[in-house]
Amino acid sequence: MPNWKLINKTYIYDGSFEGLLTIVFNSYVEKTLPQKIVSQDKYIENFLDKTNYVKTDYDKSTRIFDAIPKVICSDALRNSYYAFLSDDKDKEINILKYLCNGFDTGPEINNKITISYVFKVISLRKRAMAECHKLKGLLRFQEIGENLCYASINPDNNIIEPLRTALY
Amino acid sequence: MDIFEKLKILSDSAKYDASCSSSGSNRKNTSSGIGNGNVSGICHSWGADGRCISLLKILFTNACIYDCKYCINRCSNNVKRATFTPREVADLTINFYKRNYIEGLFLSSAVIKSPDYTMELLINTINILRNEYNFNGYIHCKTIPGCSKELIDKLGSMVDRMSINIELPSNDSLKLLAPQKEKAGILTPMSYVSNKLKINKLEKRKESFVPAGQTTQLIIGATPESDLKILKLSESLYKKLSLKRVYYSAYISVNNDKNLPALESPPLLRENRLYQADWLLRFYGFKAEELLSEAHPNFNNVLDPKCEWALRNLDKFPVEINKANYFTLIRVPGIGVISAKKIIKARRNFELNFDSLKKLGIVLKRAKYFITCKGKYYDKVYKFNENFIETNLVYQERNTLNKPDFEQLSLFDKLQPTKEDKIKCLTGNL
Repeated sequence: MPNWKLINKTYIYDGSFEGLLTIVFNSYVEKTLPQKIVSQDKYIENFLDKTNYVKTDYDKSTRIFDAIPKVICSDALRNSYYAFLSDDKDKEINILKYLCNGFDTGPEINNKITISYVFKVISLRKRAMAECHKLKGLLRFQEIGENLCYASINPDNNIIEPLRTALY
Repeated sequence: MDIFEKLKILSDSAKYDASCSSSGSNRKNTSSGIGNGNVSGICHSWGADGRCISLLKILFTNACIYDCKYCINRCSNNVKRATFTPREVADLTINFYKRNYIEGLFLSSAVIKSPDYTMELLINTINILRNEYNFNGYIHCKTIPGCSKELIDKLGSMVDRMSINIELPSNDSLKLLAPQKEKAGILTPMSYVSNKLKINKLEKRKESFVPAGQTTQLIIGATPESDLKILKLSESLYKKLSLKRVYYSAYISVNNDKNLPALESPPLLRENRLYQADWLLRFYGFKAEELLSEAHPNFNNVLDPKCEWALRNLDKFPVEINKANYFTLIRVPGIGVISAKKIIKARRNFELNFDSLKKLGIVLKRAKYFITCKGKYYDKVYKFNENFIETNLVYQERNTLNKPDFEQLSLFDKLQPTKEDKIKCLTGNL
């Protein structure tokens, strides 16, 4: 990965995990690294940026999704997914570098905590899951109907999905 | 008396029990049931008054026949008495659980009529929860000292964790302050449970019996036992009866009695030191004799037990981070189990220096005096002797000591740490 070509472009994707995996696929095949990756709802127009909209390709994303547990390890998939849920503006580029390096090095990648993007991905996962764990205890439901409970939350990270699995 | 008044009286009485921690139990949800007990443990949430409400902690009744001198619910005290019915407790638990206010139930009780009668009431409650409501959440139940074996069997098959409080750390103190309780009445059920757990493990039986083990609680400061004696007792409880936890509870002066010490404030610092030492026993491979000796039977007021031990054993230091094994690493003050594992994982790929330790999130505040990286000391540590290290450990706390008065949320009113406590106390991770 060190001698991959850096291209001076901003990639825009649809904000889904599959979209990010599509970018990972393209980058890995072309051996290029973009300067920045932004989801389309967060992107602010800027006349200096050369943008490139990446269309989500479910075929490509599924291939990457299946390859991560096989080639790297299942923990790497968890790391990247939970880091993806976190609220950080550089999360995409860090996950991309983490996964691309992971495909080259294998499961050892998780031990190389001194590489900055590996450390970043792991700490992002920790941040998102810490909030999830906190809300697991602090969420308070009200009964609003027959077998229907309601609670309102305002989390920093996008943790509704792991929170659901944690509670039920 | 309506259920809210009962709840108020009985949940208030239950706050004197220290234990409220996690399970280690793994009870799966059944198809039509509610909830599950999770291996990762109970997560905590806090009420507005700072009280931990991860478990619904209540007494079944506070109408006690015993007259233990230290207890607020002793029969000679004039307090409001209340008793739940099994159905009421079960309904309360389910309703709180549905709204995610609690993760499980912690059911304790005073002794009403006789130990066996009380146990039967507790069993009824849990039976309703488990078999009628199909509640699969975490349940921790107190065993009443002096109850019969059959009842322990029955209760153990339904709960996740059981506990009997020893309360007073020696037989003499027990005679003095709780004359109706007997040492045998406490230890027999305990060893019965631990034997049964061992047998189940050896024979690989599938039946569920107290999957999260048993715990106990000791009261600190009501009687003159030294820290060494208490720590030795806990050590033997862990070793011989394979207890999961021993809780320490600083004695709170609620009754006046000639046999009780008159304490203005509970010995919270001593409780904290004992918990720190307890951790060292369970996870760090320390022995009670290493931490304390006949010459120093009590813990230091300023330094935590691990720092104290390290200063007395400076010949074992400094430790080279890149070479030391796991068991040597966890004995360094400031490096805990998690940090040690991180170091071992990271150094497979890189030789670590102080910068990379910081990056890993390892706190060097105390550790820096006891370690070397690539054969070098931390740059500000230019001397390696007891005096220098001890002075620095205390000196670096000056900011914490001079802070303006803060408020520590407490279960009990008027029990804020005194100024003296703050100066005495070096805070932070072990």
